[in-house]
Amino acid sequence: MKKLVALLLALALIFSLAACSKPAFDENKTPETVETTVPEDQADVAPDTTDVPAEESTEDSLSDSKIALYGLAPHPFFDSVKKGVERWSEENDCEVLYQLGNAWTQDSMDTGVLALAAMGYQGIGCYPADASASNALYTDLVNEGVAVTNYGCSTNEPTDASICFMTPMTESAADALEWLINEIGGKGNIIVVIERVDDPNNILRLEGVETTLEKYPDVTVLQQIWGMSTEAEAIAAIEPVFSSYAGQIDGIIALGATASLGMQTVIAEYQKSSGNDVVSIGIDDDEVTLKNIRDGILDATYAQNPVGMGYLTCQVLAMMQHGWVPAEGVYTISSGSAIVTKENVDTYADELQAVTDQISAELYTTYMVKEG
Amino acid sequence: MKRVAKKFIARQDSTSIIATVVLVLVFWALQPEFLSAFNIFNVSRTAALYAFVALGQAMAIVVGDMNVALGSMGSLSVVMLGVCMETWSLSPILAVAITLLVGVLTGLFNGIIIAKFKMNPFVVTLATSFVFTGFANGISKGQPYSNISESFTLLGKGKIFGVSNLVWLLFAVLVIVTLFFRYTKLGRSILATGGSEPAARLSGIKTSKIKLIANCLSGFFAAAAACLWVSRVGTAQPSTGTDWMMTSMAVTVIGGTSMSGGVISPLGFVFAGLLMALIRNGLIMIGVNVYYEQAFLGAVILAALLIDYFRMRVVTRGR
Repeated sequence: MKKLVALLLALALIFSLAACSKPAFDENKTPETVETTVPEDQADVAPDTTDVPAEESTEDSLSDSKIALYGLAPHPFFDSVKKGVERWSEENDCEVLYQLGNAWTQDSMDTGVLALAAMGYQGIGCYPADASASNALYTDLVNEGVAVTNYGCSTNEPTDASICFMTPMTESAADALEWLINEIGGKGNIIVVIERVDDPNNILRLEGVETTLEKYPDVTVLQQIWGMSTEAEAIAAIEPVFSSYAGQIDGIIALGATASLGMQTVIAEYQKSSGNDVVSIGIDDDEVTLKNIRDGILDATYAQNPVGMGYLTCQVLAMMQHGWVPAEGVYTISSGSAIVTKENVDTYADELQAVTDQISAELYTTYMVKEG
Repeated sequence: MKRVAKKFIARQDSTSIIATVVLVLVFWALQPEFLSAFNIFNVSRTAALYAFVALGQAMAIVVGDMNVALGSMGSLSVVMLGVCMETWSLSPILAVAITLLVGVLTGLFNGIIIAKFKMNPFVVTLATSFVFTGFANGISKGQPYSNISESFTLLGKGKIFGVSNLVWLLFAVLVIVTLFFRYTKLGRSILATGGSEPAARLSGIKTSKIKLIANCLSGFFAAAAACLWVSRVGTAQPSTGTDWMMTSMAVTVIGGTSMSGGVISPLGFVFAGLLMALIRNGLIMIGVNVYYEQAFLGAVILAALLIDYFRMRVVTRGR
């Protein structure tokens, strides 16, 4: 009986806290309703913009934006995204919180992102843990007046995410595999390494691989390797394949960042011990991968533009807090990509930054419109 | 007053209650938005889910066993629910019934090996965790099932009087669990078996059968937690359950369920679930460096366990 009473009291505690506590958001604090006053001694010299043509005043200051980005877990990809966030933050004099979770799970993402929303962030950029389940989270956010965008990966449509900056996964995998197949002369044996089975991007990448393979009947996939989420797992999965097919492998492609790192470790040891050369292409442009390209261990990597994704996500979220909305029909915007080899390893970043800057300018002219 | 305090400290679940209250105050002091209605709703909903997961573990622990396969049973249940709703287009009620049955069957499988062959529960459930995960991945091929009936998601996403439906459901279930263990012969037999299996056997309790039933209950609650998770997110992901082992052990133990068996505290589930949800939510809200978040999480759990150790010393000395 006492335990039942205790249970009921606990229920009352939660009920009273939920029903009676203050709301998360104070509408009077939204950027649109913040009142600014000109100090008295400057009142006479305050600039009069009433005669300025509309097109000259489209780029408002975004420094008062309250935005955050969320990455699922420590990963080289998110390190690069953070660089883009920091660049935008510095250029616009606006503090942006980049929050990392600790697991590639929807539960972890829900906890992290909802905490950010509770802290008052009114625009949140997310890399979705699950293409479907993340939509439930986004609906919760939008219902609370929080704008949300995707970067790196999209959720299934229809979605409440306003915009998605990503590399088209299917096309990027196809491009990477085409490069590999051309390098091995259009025929031969290859290994395909895919990372996490539950990453929606990997499913799209696999589609790109399968479509490309149909064009090259003389290319044989000796083995597809799946299901790794750490470099150690990748090494443990790829090593036996090299042992089994020693001397038969002409090329190898890894379609995930940690899979790519694991592949590079295995290739380095295999090439050293067997003397056989294997043409290899990985993904992403972390420091280890770039060093391995310079050292000749890895032949190429398919670089997405995570720096650009971080930068552009901040830009869009900030613009949305200043009256801008995506233009009709705009959702997925390709953030650019590059195949990085020894030839352009020191210049590709500048090329990708130029792409980012171009897209950033086009946000004002093509991808977004000012409401009202 | 002193007697009330002594009585409170003597409770198995007092640690989780004290720790929860302390954490709430600390996080609130550091981040006022911590106690916003929005945040409390989210935390309480997450806590309810954790408590349901922990119930699955508790059903095994209370009888002196352990269920390392809890997460993979949940994963397989999620996949079954997805298959029922999306592939077979069954109604939510029928789909849930089949899923709960699958959960019970996985528990039965574990229970038969543990109870009848007298094998170590840790080793058995570790092995079966691979089996269930393999089936879940094999059936689903790693793909989530997104065509979940919208009416089914009302339970996980909806609220009544500002409180998540999952919290209401949790309380209803915990009332039933309390009554079950307190007033039913089966419930008391489970506690007796967990308290001392030889003594229970000598008093006429068929301990093998009790362990079998307890493992079935563990599977039932794993499946129930799976259904509620799907209802919460609106999609059936095969990766569900990967972190259930840690969560379920933490919530169960911190909540006052004895690792050696024989004791269960339904109120402890509420506060321990809240504690786990609060820790992760609060650490983010106060801006803890994410690279050290796991360390903080472990430290808070360790602190709770140490408090419990000292609590037991005080209680024992008082006797």
